[in-house]
Amino acid sequence: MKLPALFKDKGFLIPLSILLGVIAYIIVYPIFFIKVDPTRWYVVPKGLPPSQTYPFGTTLTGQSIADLVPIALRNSIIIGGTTALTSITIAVVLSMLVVLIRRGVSATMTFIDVMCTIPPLPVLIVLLYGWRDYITMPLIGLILSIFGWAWPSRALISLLSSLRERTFIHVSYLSGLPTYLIMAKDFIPYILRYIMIGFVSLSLWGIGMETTVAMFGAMRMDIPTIGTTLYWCMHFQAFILGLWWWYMIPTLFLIAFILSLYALGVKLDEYLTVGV
Amino acid sequence: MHPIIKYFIKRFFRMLLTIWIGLTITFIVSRSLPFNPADVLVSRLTSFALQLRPEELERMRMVIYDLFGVGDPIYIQYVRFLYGYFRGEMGPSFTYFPVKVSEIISVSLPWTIFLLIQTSVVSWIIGNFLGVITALSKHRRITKGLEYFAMGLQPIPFAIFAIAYLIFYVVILRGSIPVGEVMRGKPIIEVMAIAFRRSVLPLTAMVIWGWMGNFLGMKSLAMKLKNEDFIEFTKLRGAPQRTITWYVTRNAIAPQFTYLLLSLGMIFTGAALVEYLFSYPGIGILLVTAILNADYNLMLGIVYMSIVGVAVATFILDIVYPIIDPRIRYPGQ
Repeated sequence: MKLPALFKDKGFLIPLSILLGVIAYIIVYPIFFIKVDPTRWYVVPKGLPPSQTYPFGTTLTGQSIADLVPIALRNSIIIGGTTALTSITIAVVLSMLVVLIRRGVSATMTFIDVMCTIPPLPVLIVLLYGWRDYITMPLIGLILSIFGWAWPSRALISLLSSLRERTFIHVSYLSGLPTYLIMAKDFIPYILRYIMIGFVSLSLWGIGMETTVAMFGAMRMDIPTIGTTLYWCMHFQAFILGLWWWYMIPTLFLIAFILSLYALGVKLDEYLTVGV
Repeated sequence: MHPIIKYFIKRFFRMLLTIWIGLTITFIVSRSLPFNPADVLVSRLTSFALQLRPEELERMRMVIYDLFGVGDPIYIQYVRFLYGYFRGEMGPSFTYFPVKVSEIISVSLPWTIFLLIQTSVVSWIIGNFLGVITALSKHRRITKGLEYFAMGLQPIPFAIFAIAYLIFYVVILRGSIPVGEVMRGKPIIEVMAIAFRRSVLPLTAMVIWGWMGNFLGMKSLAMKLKNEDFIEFTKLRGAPQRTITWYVTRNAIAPQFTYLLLSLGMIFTGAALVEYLFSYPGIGILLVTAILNADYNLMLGIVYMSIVGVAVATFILDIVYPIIDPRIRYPGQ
C-alpha cells in the first residue's frame, strides 16, 4: 500500500473526514458564533430541547449546548494530548536510556510494574482536587502523566531489548556508529509505529481518566470538559428528567472524535506495518 | 530452597515494595498540596465552635498540628508518616470527626476488594475463552463481527459506558438498584448472598466492558501461536480440535495472567466509578463523600488503603500463578 492508496481507502477517509469535521467545529464555531462566554451560567432559558434558536438545546444550568460542546471537547482533547505527549516522551527517553546503558533493566522493570499496579484514581483525585484553584488544562495533562508513562515504558523496554539483540544493531555497533546515530537510524524507525499507537491510546486514556475524575466532582467544576458536563447532568438529574440532549450530544461528539482517531491510528498502523 | 517458596518470598517483597512506594506517593501528595490539611481541619472546627476561648483554640491547633506532624523537619515527618500509616494510624476524618479514617475505610475496603477480584476474574475468564475460540474457529463471519465489536467499543472511555449502562438499566429497563441491608449477626451464607446481590449490577457493568481487552489480547496471542510448529505438528498427528485448543490456551495463558495482575490498578479505577454510580458501599462512595466534604485526611487514607488493597489483591492472584506457569514450580538447571 503506497501513500496515495491510503487516501483512496474508505476506511481511512471516513474517519479522517469525521475527525476534521469535529476539529473544525471545535475551532471555527467558537470564533464566529459564540457571543456570550459559554462557561457562564443562566444566560439562556433553562432545559429547552433542540430547536432553531438553540440547535442542540440548553441545559438546566442555562447554557447553550451548541456553545458548550466545542469548548468542553477542546478542553478534554487538550488534556488527552498533553497526557499523551508527556507520557510518551518520558517512556521513550527512559526506555532508550535503560536499554542503551544496559544497566538497571530489571530494577526499572520492577519499579514500572509497581507503578502499573498502583491505582491512579485516588491519587489523581487528591491532586486535582487540592490544586483545583490553580489548575489549567495542560497542567491536568501533566498530572495525569504521572501514571501514564508506566504502561508504554514497559512495552517499549521489552520491544527495544529484543531489538537490541538483532544482528543489524550489532553490525552498527561493530562498525563504530555513534550511539545517537544508532538510536536515530536503527531504533527509531522500529518504534515509531508503537509511539504513534501509544500516543492515540494514551490520549484516549487521558480523556477517560479526566472524565472519571470530573464525574467524582474532584476538579474545577466551572471549566467545561466532557467530564464536568456529565457531572452537572448527574447533579441536576438530567437522566431522570429526560433531558437526553444534555448528556447525549456532548457524549456523541466525544465518541465520534475518539472512534475516528482510533480508526485512523489502526489504519495508519496497518499502512506502516506493510514492509516491516 | 524450593523455587515456589522463593517465588512467594519474592512476591511478598514486591507487595511490600508496592506499599512503600504507595506510602511515599501519599506522603508527597499530602505535602505538595497548596495548603495544609491541618489548617483546613482547624478552620472547620473553629466554625463549629465559635464560643471557644483563644487559648483553647490555640491548644486545639497545637493538638491537631501534632497529630499531622506539621512543624518537624521533612524527613522526620516522613518517618513518622510511614510509621503511623503502616500501623493504620491515619488520623481523624474531617467529616466524621473524631472517628478515625482507618475505621471508616476498613468497612468499605472489603467490599471493593470483593468486587475487584470478582470483576477481574470473571472478565478475564470470559475474554480469554472467547479469544481462543474466535482465533481457532472456522466461522469467519461471526468471529470478525465479534472482533470489530470489541475493537469499536474498547476505545470508548469506561466512564461513558458506565453512565450509558446506568441510563439503560434505570431509565429504559426501569430496573431497581439494591440498597443496604442489616448484615450484623446474620449467618455468613446470608451475608455473602447480600454481598452478591449488591455486587451484581456493578459487576455486570464492568464485565460487559472488561472482557474486551482480554479478548483482543488473547486473540492476537492465539493467532500467533496457531502458526507455531508444535501446533502444526499436533494437527498433522491427527489430534482432535479440543487438544489443539487446549495447547494454544495453555501457552497463551501465562502472558495474559501477567496482564491481569498489572491491570488491577486500572480495574480499580473502573470499580470505584461503578460503585459510585450504582451505590455499592465501597471505596468509590467514600471518595465522593470525602470530596463533597473536602475531607483531605479521608482522601489520603483512601489513596493509601486502595494501594494496599490492590497490592494485596495482586499478591493473592500471584499465589495462583505457579499453577499456571510450570517454570516456577520446578527448580531451574
